[in-house]
Amino acid sequence: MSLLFLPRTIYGKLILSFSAIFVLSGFAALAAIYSLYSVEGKIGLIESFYGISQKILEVRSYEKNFLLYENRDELVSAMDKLEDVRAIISGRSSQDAINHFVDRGDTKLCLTELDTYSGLMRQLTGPGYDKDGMNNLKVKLREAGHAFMNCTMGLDSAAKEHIAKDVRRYKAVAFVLVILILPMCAFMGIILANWIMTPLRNIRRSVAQVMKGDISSIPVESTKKICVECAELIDALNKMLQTISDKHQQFMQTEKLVALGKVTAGIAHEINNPLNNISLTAEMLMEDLSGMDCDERRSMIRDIVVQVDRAREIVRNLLDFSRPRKPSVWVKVDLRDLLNNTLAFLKNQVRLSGADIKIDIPETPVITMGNPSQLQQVFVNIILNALQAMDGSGALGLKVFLRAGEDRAVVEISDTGPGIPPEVREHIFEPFFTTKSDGTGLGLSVSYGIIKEHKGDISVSSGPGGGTTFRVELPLWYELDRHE
Amino acid sequence: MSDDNGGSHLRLLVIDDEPIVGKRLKQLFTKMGLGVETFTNPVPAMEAMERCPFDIVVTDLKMNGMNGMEVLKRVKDINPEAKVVIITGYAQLDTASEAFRRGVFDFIAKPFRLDELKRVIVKAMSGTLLARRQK
Ligand SMILES: Nc1ncnc2c1ncn2[C@@H]1O[C@H](COP(=O)(O)OP(=O)(O)O)[C@@H](O)[C@H]1O
Ligand SMILES: [Mg+2]
Repeated sequence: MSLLFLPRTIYGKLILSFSAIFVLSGFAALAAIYSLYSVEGKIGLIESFYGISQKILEVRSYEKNFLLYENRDELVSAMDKLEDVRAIISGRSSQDAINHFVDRGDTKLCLTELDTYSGLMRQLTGPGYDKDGMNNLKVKLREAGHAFMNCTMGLDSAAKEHIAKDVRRYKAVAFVLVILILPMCAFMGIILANWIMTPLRNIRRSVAQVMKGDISSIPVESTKKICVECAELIDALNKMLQTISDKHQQFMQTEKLVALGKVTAGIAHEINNPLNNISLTAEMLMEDLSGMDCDERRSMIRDIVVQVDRAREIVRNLLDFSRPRKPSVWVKVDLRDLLNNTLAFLKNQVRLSGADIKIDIPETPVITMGNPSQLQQVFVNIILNALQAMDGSGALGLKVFLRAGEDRAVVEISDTGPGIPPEVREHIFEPFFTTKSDGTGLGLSVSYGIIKEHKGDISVSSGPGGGTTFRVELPLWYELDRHE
Repeated sequence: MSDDNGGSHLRLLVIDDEPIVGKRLKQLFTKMGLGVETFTNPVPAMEAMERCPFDIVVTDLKMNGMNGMEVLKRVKDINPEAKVVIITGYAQLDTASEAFRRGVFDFIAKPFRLDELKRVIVKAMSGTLLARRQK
């Protein structure tokens, strides 16, 4: 129920917790101050008793002198001192410490003893006592003095006992306070840590999920109610995720345009050839229409139609490749078609490079799930790299097969180029790493990202004698389906 | 050169890996009275050239096995008098000037108009005939 009134910010929670701790420790401090003050008072009491016994000792020494020398002045001084003592014990003096002691029975007892003692003194100061009477009184005086001293000593020890009891009580209170406050603080600490940590832990879990690709942004709704700062943090993280994905998108697009730039020569050639065929055929038809028989005309017209198809196919491929696509557009992809399209797209590039091409693609469909334009981008990158590595002559190998026992398709693209030395190999998937003067170093890093997004793997092997094989593994479609 | 067509019968070689180009140029130039042979692969074309040199050669620039520049060189080696016309789908300025330096007769970008090619070939023919008559 108290949870309903929880503050919604970490700041508020900290303030709340610290106020609670402040109240508790303030309470403890007040208790300590109170005990110190009262102990201080009790110390005053002990001091008063010390003063009393000091005075009584003086009185007794006057008394002794009197008894020895019978000098009445001594008795007068003694009586003065006794009056001081009475003033203290009866609480008439200003020392409060002793006041609440005054009411006690033994205090009253001592006061009567004091009365007897001082009464005897007064008698002795009076004139006219014979020797026996005098001696008798002297004995009484000594006894009364003794009794009074004993009585005050009793008072003193009673007071000491009283103080010791108080101190014991304060100790107990302090002990109880510690016992109470320690677990309370520990409890509050745990609660506080939980309040703050739970939303943070949730964020961490969501971030992990985002990185695994299960979700695309961190959910904010549940956190909003319990932690305003966390909700703000999530908003910021989500904005960052969005920016990163935008940037990634731009990256891929840039890479694609660069790859496109590399194949413009091939594409121009590839489009100009059918155009040339069309124009030649059309002009021939026009020039000699009447001189040809029907079959010849028909065959020439068919040539035109076929060449138009060919040009259209090239343009379509080009657009497929260059058009930016949302990464979320996933469809079933037959890797065989995809690779054949890729090869058609790059056919002229391969031809210009002078490389032979060896293709080993199975008869049956190899279906995977993914974004066809992105996957094509990967294969274009790898094939262009292979052609660039061979420079002139060599053999480009393209092999597709299913990995036995596992539901994965493997595409291997090999070349007979110089190979990749180990110190270069460890960097080739890094963005902007290139060994070419006109390279961007983006091709393989973008490809790596795309293949990882498709839950696949991309690896490279390169023999010491040259030749490089890039191996792309992708999960087969029905495997993904079964996992859903 | 031993031919029985009164010396005016010129031989034209067309090399282009697009078969349609060969077919159409053969139609056209046979009608114009040239002896035309077409190849889609430059290697057998060069063999044919060695067997019996052609007067005019029309070749594509980018081909499998051998490119147009090599064809130009080989043709000039075999018959320095031969006129070589290069046609290409993607003309770069530096390849064009390189070709002219190596003695190409003309350099034509695809897609070209028939008239354009016809004019070039007619020019080449008259040049060859003139040279032959002067001999
Ligand atoms: N088939 C290959 N043979 C040799 N080296 C390669 C091959 N493929 C990639 N590389 C190396 O990997 C580097 C990075 O390639 P990439 O990311 O495509 O960027 P770029 O092609 O712009 O240099 C290349 O510069 C090259 O050194
Ligand atoms: Mg590259």
